Formats: sequence, structure tokens, C-alpha cells
Amino acid sequence: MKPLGPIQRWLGNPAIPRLEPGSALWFFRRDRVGMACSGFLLIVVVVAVLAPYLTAHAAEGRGEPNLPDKFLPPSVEHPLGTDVLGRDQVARVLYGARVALSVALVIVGLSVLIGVTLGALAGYFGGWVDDAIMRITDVFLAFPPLLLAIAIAAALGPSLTNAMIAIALAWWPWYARLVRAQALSVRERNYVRAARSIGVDDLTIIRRHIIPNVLTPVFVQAAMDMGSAIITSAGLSFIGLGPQPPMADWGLMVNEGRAYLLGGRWWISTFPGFALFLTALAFNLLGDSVRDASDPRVRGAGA
Amino acid sequence: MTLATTHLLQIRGLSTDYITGGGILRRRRGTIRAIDQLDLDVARGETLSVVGESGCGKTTLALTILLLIRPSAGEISFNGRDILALDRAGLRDIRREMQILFQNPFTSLNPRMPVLDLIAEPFLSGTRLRGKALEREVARLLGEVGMSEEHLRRLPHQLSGGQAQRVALARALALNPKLLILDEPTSALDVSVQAQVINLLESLRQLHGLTYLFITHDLSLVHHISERVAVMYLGQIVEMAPCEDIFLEPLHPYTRALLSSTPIPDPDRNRSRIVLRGTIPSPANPPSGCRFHTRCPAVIDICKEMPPGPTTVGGEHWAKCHLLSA
Amino acid sequence: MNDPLLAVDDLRVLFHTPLGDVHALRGVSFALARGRVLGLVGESGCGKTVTGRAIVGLVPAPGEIVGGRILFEGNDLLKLSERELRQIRGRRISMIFQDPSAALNPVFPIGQQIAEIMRQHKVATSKGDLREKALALLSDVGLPSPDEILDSYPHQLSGGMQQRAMIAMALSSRPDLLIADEPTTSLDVTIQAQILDLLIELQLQTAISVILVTHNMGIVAEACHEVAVLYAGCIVEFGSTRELFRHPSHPYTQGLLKAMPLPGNRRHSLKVIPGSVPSGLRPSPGCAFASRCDSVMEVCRQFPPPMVAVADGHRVACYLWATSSNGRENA
Repeated sequence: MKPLGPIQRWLGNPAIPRLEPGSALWFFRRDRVGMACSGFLLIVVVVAVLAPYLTAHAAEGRGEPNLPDKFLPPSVEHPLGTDVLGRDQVARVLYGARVALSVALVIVGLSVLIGVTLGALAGYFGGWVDDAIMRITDVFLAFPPLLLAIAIAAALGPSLTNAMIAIALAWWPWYARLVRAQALSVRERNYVRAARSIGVDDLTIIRRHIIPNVLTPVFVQAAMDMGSAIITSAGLSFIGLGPQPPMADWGLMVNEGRAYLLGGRWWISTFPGFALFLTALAFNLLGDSVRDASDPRVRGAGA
Repeated sequence: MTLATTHLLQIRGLSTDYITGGGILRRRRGTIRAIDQLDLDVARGETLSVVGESGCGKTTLALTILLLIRPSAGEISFNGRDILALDRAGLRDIRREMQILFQNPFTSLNPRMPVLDLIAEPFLSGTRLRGKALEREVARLLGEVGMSEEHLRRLPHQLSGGQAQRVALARALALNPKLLILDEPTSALDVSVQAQVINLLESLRQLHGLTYLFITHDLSLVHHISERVAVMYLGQIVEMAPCEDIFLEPLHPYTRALLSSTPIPDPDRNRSRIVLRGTIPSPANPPSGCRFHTRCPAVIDICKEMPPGPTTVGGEHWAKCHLLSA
Repeated sequence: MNDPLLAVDDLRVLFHTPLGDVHALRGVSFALARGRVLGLVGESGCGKTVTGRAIVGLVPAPGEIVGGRILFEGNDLLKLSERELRQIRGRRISMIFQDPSAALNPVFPIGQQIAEIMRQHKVATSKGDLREKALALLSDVGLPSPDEILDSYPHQLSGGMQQRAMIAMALSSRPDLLIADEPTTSLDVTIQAQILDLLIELQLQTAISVILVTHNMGIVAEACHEVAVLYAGCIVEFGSTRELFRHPSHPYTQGLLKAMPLPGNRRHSLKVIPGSVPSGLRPSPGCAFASRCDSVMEVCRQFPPPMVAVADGHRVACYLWATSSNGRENA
């Protein structure tokens, strides 16, 4: 008799109690904008996963040049045109979606992992542990995040992986601070005292009692960060510190097409740019909806 | 350490301080003496009530006994063992023998854990019971506190106040403790629910031979359930007596004031109320001499200079007041 | 003037929650004369707090007053414009709350907050006059060194002192009606006694009418002239304090009094009211207490019980008393 997982509830299995009215998920479901963005992003995910099967030019998507077809404007055969190396833009944008999504997930996932762990340890143990972790956090926070990411990426060498690591390293301090503040108050709660009085050891307490109860603001922040992650990594690749050609990355594609904008070949930068814009916007709006659903005051129902 | 074995818990000279201030610049630290040289014995199987208002240290006392706070001085022995000198293994053992029930079940139960996990937790860290056997044991405990299996999947916020407190009680009883400290267990509950919980506590006590340390401010409740009563003020016990004696013959002026302050649901009772002057002093800055002298309606000169020692008046009844020895 | 100061007539309040509409008040009616103290007593969810807030116009969203009248000196407060309401709220009708730190603004000194109220309701205007009146108020409520308190911030005061300050603010406009919502619940017993005594004394001095919302029958016995017992949004019993405690007539009132631990019945099990308070989501067609009542009859479950007079000024909503020989029925 295991307790219900949130996914089970979400799927609305009739054998299981319906989505509990008044819960965060319930509010989220009623938020039209949030649902629309989720739908859109779901499509992006599906498209990204199925990219090789959705285009006849899969090899070009991966980067293989097709020089005879270069600079073709949008047409029936190439709805988004071709780029400087003759590669079909549809394929490129599709493959770029893969990069964009994995970038968002890895960056946010990594910073959340590092930040939550360090924040929970700092908040729960206090003392020198807290001091040490907070000083490290302060050091990282002293730099503007984009500059820090650029510096780290430059030091590590330009590549997709290094770009992701760089941004995650620039972002984890926010999560650490967020979680530390929450952990400080959660550790004084009576259920933590009760667990200690039973004899539960510290690390188990952190895992079982502290972390689940500090995650709500983390989710909100993470949802909003997904959009920023894509934009920031696009920024890095725009200046050459991210993935290298011939990889299909939207930021890279915008950069590659930059030289040809004035020459009338607008489609090379525009479509990847558009894709970037839509995806980041969807993530940002999604983040807003998550925040609204989580905030008891916005929900309106009396406590 | 030789002890009378009738006493489950023996406390001598207990003092607990809170340190304030500190931080990276290590500003001047202040101390708040929350418990000041307290002596207390709790006999096996009895219900001892501790009565007092905010700042008297009753919750600190509970947390100190449970070793959740380290005292700065004194001795605590439980079942004959000095629990302040235990190693990790010993500490783990002792922890199962003493448990606590807090006032607000919605903050003493992890809001993200369903009832099954909440009651199973003590077993997970204290025993080898797992799987189906564990579930059976949890269901049995749940039945003992008057709830049914349908509640196993619920989260705390889906329970009523009374139900949540029962879950907290089931969890506290999981490892068969000998001593249960109850910190205002029914103050957050409605009167009719309180009645159910109090009856349940009483029947469980008899069934399992438990000892209760009952912390409360509700004097009518105290009268209903206790064998003995200890009255606390600003970190000290100022009076201790068998239950009837406290109500019939309160000695300490503070006890008298407490008794007269409690509203009684009887409009015909015309009582002269002893209204205390002023407010409860902060434990950070306790008054000199007898700590109660700033509010005492019967204060005399010596009260401001010397703290009174305990004066015994017949059998088990004592109080710390200069007026008694005068 | 024999007319009651306040007459609440069939007040109904709904709370629109995601789970459905909760019937917080289901037709509450009572009257309060000048200079009298009425206790609204009941357990959580009975609607006593909502009643108090409805009178002052402070029912929080998602609550909504959906029926009834609140007649203050003959005028229906529910029909007044916002501007007219503002003349009354805070000036003629005042409220004090359970948590003084929620009512006192932490960033302004006490004196300034009192002054603001007095200025708003034109009790005084000049600075000197304001200060003088504020000092008098603070000492009326028993605060020591009022001149120091005047310049202090709320967090510098203890709970009891904050509560006194809040009472001072509530009385600054010399209101006719004071609604006290659990004013002593969060205080220590000895401080509670002080505040209660203060309220009783002030009431005697100024002949202000008071509605005291509480769950504590002891406070009701000490401080109120009349009592209304609420259950699940209805008044189940109403009468003078003495009469109600001597002859509790509604099974719920009786159960409530028996469930309280009292000196004299040590160690016997407390008499318990089985079951729990209904949620208000789908109110039963009959008596709200039917599912928990020892003496329930079939008619209780089907139709709402009439309000029946038990004695002069004492009425009960219960079929047990609704025999034809028992006086008139107020349907």
C-alpha cells in the first residue's frame, strides 16, 4: 500500500482519488496560459525526440553540408530555407530543439542539485558548515552571472558541455540561498524535533524532512530558470563559447546567419531566433503559472 | 549513582541556558537562563502535571529531558541511568523510552508524509521491522488510537485536528516508551475533541502502564488527570503538591493567582480574583531574590534580596516562599 | 430607547472554495441591546468569527454575505454604500482581534496609530489634543507609563500590553459597539484575567455594547450577560448567561458543558460528543447536530428545527422542546 505519487493523481486514474481541488496541481490545471505553454513545450519535446524521423534531411540537421543548395529562400521543398552550407533549416531547427531542451534540463538540473544539497546542509547544520558554504556562495554571487559563465566557459574551452557546466556553476548559489533560508526555518519545526527524538540521524532527517519541505520555491525558480537557461546558453554560443559548428544550436545558427542579414538572406538567423524566442517565452510563462499555483495568497482560498 | 527505583525520572539541579548573539563578528553573547537549578522526580506510572505560563521554561524542560537541548548544568537520570553521560548507542536506546507529543499536530507531523509513513518512521530507525509486518504493526497502532486503515494514505492536512493528534500519538507510542511528555496536547483542539483525546490518553496510560509528564496551562484539565502538580515560574518550580492539595490549599501566591485567574464556567461563582500587577519578566533579565517578587501581592523586603528555599508543608507538598517560613 | 442597538436577521454567509460552497452561516438571528455584553460561543467552524466580521464588514474573500440583514440603530448595514459604511466602521462599531500583532502596524509607534484613528474619525485634530487624549486612553486601559508607551513600537510591548493598546485604539473613537474576537485566546492565563477584567470594567464605565466571540465557556460565564451558542452556522441556543448555564437545553450545549473537565469528576471519563463537526459543504436538510445527537428523532434529520422558547428570553432550536405546550414557535 504505497502512497500515491503526484503523477498517478495527475493522470486521473478513476481508481485513485481525483486531483484534489485546492491543491497546487489543481490550480495549475485551471490556468489556461500555463496549460497552453505546457502543451507547446510538450510538442517541442516530442519534436526534439523524433527529429530524425520528421525530416528527410536528417543528415543535414546533424551538420552535413549540402553546398549545391546553399542560400535557398523558403520554399515548398525547404519551408524554412537553407543556410550557408545548404543545410535544410527545418532539420537544423529541429535538431537545435534537442540541444536547447537538453541544455535547459542539464543546467537547471545541475544547479538545483548542487544548490539544494549545499543549501540544505548549510541551513540544517549551521555553525561552521553554514559559514563555509555561505562564504563560497558569496564569492560566486559577487560576479555577474553571465560574465562568470563566460569566464568559466573560456577557461574550460568552448563546447556544449562546458557551456552547460559554466552556467550551472554560475547559478547554483541562488538555489543554495533559497534552500538555506527555508531550511533554517524548517529545522525548527516540531516534526524535525520529533524525528530527532525518535533517533533519526541527521542525514536522513535532511533527506526525509528538510528537503521535501523546501522544494516549493525551488520548483518555482527552476521553472522560470528553464527559459533563462536557453537564452543564456544561446548567448554563449553566439559569442562562440558554446557548442561548436557543425552542431545545430539555435544560438550558433543565429550567429552564423548574422553576416547575411543585410544582404537580404534573412531566413538563416530569423527562424532559429524565433524558435529561441518562443521556447524561452513558453518556459517563462510556465514559470509564472507554477509560481501562481504555488502561492497560497494568489490562490485566494482562505486558509 | 544510587537512586530510589520507584522514580522513573530524577532531575537534580538542572539548568538550561540559551545563548543569544554571536555571528561572524562574534558580538557580545548574552545568556537566557530558561531553567534554573530545577529538581524534579517523576514516579513510575503517575501523571505529573507541569503548569505555568510563557517564559516559565516548561517546554524547555521537555526538550531538555528528551536531550534535544543540552543543559548547562545538572543531572538527569532515567530508570537509574545517567542519561547526560550516554554514548551514541546508549542515547539511541534511551530515545525510545521517552517520547513527546506536541501541541499542534499540524506542525509536529511532516506535511508531506502520509499517515503510513509517519507512523512507520520510528520503526524504520528503531527496529528491523519492514514490509508487510511493518504495515500490520502500523495498522494495529492506528486502531489503538481509534482510527481506521482508510486514513493510512491521507496527508496531515486532510485530517481534522483531533485525528492528526491521534496520529502523532500513535507515532509517539510506536516504540513502547515508558515516559510520554505531553506539551499542551489538547490546547489547539476544541473542547469536545479534547475530551476524546483526554479519554484516549487515560485509557492508553492504563493499558500500557505509561508515565505522563503533562505540560499545560489549563488548570481544570490538570485537576482532572493528575496525581501531582508542579507549578513553574521563570525557570523554577515554585510549588509542588498532590493534585487535591494544590487546589484546596495553594501555598504560593503565584499558584493562588493562577487558580483565581482561570475562568470557570459557572456564572454563580463569585470569586475574588487575585490580579497580578505587571507582566511576566523576561527570562533574559530575571528579578533578583525571589523571581516572583515584582508581581507578588504579598511581597516583603526579604523577597527582593534572597531567593526562598523550599518549605515543606505536610507530606509531599512544598513551596518556595518566604511567607511560609516567616 | 428600547430598540436594540444591533439586530441581526437571518444572516447567511457562503465561502466559495475549490471544493464547493461552504455554508458558514445559515440564518443567524439575534439582537443586542445597549450596554449589554453578548457572548458568541462555539467550536471551530461554528461561524462565530464570521458573524463578528460580517457585522463590521470584514468578511474575507472568498466569503460572501448572501442573505439577511444587519440592523445597526435601525439601518441595514448591508445596504449602505462604502462611504456610509466607513462612517460607521471604526467609529461606531469597533473590533479587536485575537492576535494584536496582526492589528498593530509594526513600523509605526503606538501613539501615531492611535492618533491616526482619532484624526480619521475627527475625535481630535490638534497635535496637543491628540496626544492628551491618547495618553488618557492608554492609562484607561491600564498601561503603565503611558508616555513611554506612546512612543514605543508594538514589538517592544508584551502580548498583554499589545492587547491593551489594541483595545485603546478600538475605543478611541468612543464606539457604541465593540466586537471582540477571541481577545484573550493567545494570552497567558494571568494576563487573560487582567484583560478580561479590563474589558468588564470598561464596559461598565462606558456602557458600550460588546459582542464577545470565544470558545471558552468560562469566559462567557464571567463576562457576558447573554449567550448565543453556535453550531455549524446556526444558533442552537440563546439565553441569559445564568439561565443557559443552569438549564442548558440544547443537546449540543449540554454535551459541551459535560465535555469540559471540572473539579469534582476526577478520573472519570469525560462525556464525549461522538463524531465531528460537519464541514459545511453539503449541509443536511434537517438539524445540523442530528448526526451526533443522543436524542435524535426522525423529524430532526428531515426538517430544520424551529426556534422554541424554553423560558423568558431563553430559546432553543430543537425538536425536543417543540411541543405545543411549550409556548410559541419562532419558525
